[in-house]
Amino acid sequence: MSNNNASSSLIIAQRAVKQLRLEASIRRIKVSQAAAELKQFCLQNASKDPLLMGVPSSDNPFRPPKSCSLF
Amino acid sequence: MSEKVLKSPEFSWTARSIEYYSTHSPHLFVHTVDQLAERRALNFALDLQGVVSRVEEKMLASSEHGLRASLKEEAKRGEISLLPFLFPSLCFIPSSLISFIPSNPHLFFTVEEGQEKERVSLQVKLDQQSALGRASEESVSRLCNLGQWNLKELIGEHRARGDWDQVAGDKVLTLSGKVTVIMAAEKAEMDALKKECDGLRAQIEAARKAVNDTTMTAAANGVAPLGRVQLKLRKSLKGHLAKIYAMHWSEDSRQMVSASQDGKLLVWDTFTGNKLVAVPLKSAWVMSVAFAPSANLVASGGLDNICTVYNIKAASPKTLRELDAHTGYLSCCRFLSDSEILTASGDTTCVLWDLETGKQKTVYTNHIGDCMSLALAPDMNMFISGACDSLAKLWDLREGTCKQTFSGHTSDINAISFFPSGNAIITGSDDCSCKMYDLRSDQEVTDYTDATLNAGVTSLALSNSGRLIFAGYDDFNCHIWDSLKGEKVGVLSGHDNRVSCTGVPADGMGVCTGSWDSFLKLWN
Repeated sequence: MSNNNASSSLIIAQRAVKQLRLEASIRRIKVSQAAAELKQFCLQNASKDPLLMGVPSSDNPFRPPKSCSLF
Repeated sequence: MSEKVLKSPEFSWTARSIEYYSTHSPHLFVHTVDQLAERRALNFALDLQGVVSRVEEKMLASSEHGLRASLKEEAKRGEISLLPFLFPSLCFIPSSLISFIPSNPHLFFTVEEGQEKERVSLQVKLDQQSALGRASEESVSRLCNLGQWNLKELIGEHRARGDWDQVAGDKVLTLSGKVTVIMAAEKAEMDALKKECDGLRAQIEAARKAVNDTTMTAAANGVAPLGRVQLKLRKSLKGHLAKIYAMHWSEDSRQMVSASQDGKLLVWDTFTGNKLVAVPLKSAWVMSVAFAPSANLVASGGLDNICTVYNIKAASPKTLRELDAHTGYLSCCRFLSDSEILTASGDTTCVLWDLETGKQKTVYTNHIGDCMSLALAPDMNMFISGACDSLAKLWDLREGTCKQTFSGHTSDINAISFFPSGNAIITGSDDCSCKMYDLRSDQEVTDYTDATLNAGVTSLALSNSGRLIFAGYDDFNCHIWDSLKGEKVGVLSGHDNRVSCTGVPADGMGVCTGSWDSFLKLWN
């Protein structure tokens, strides 16, 4: 174990403290408020969500085009 | 300084184990308990190289039991003298054997100051290499004058030698060696930093708890359930010859690029099912692919550690740039524009590159595990990354700093995505669960787990309203979750192997799944 190892562990520990100080300082809103806003976003945009509403066959870009067969 | 000569009947010892044995320099570690008043426990290495040959003979048997027996025999005949480096104001208690190299054996001792006012503790490294010499007066006296020395000046190596002695016809080993003093003030600082870290973590947890007044599922109680979401398979895109590892939609919601370990990128027209462009790769070990918003460029990378950007609008695909600076595999890449691209790597960093110069603009360092996935925020000022350290991190793109860290997963995070409002993120992990974290309350708000799902999550994508989460699993299926209520509402079954990638186009008209079975499937 050399002093070099001790110094780099020290630097790593100093960086960890700096990062934690940053993360500890943010403002947090209540989960109830956050959840309400997420819920509202989903409900407000539901009508514009094709996977939720369903895609009418005439407008379905992925549906293979219907073809007529003549016998 | 007194030399203690302890006769074997006065103390007992047991050989612990052979750490290393070689015919040139046999060593044993002997744990002894001093039965004198101080009751010190010492670990010291006995260099038996100079000892009576019959012990050496016995050692060749190399069985611990045999050795113990042989040492006991030896103890009856001789004495073991210990030179405990008693300084006038210091006494030391060896802590434990930290390392041993046959040519340079070391022991660690903790030295605690005795009657002095400053109770300093030092870790002293004892080199047993010169155990056969006598403690030189110079070094011992230097150490003895410890009271007058600045402890910091002690850092370094001091030579002290011991010797085999003849006392009344018996062999005596004097413990001695090189004394290296390490870790003086640094230990104190490290301890203080660790304490601060623990304190800050507790502070963050408390702050999160303080705002945790409900869960997402509880808040969504009044929301009408979705019922069964049944999507139909509309197209199966065949063309790749090996496992598909990644896919990405173009912003036009029509073209899509896929990457396979058959060494090709294929650009598809998903409306017709036709292949538009085939890009041969230098390295077949591709793990990620991205479509530029302009649709002029695609990028890919993998085990070659390089992110290669191709111009697919040229007559034949041309390599525009090779971004080569990562020291680990490329797990994910996303274009910000035709001039900037973000990459995530197994070297635990994410990097923002300038495509005009081919150089790194910003390196995002903070993860302690391989970065597996990244996603850009709708406003393009932030991005999120998921890594094998089971953490998701939110980064400020321009500042290069990590703003928030989200924990909760118990294994690698393989997939990550923003909720369309930009205020929440969804992660998918090898721990078989997905989680939603809200950015503004800085915590997990929903956990998407099912007792019947025992496969890791490989990929995920959200529908345009954010209500549906499409998560690809190792169980060959893509399961659909109601993001608000936390319930499984459907499944996309059809692949014959692991679903490795999932994507919903910008217009939200469908979902694409790619699999190790070499097929891409389109559903809506």
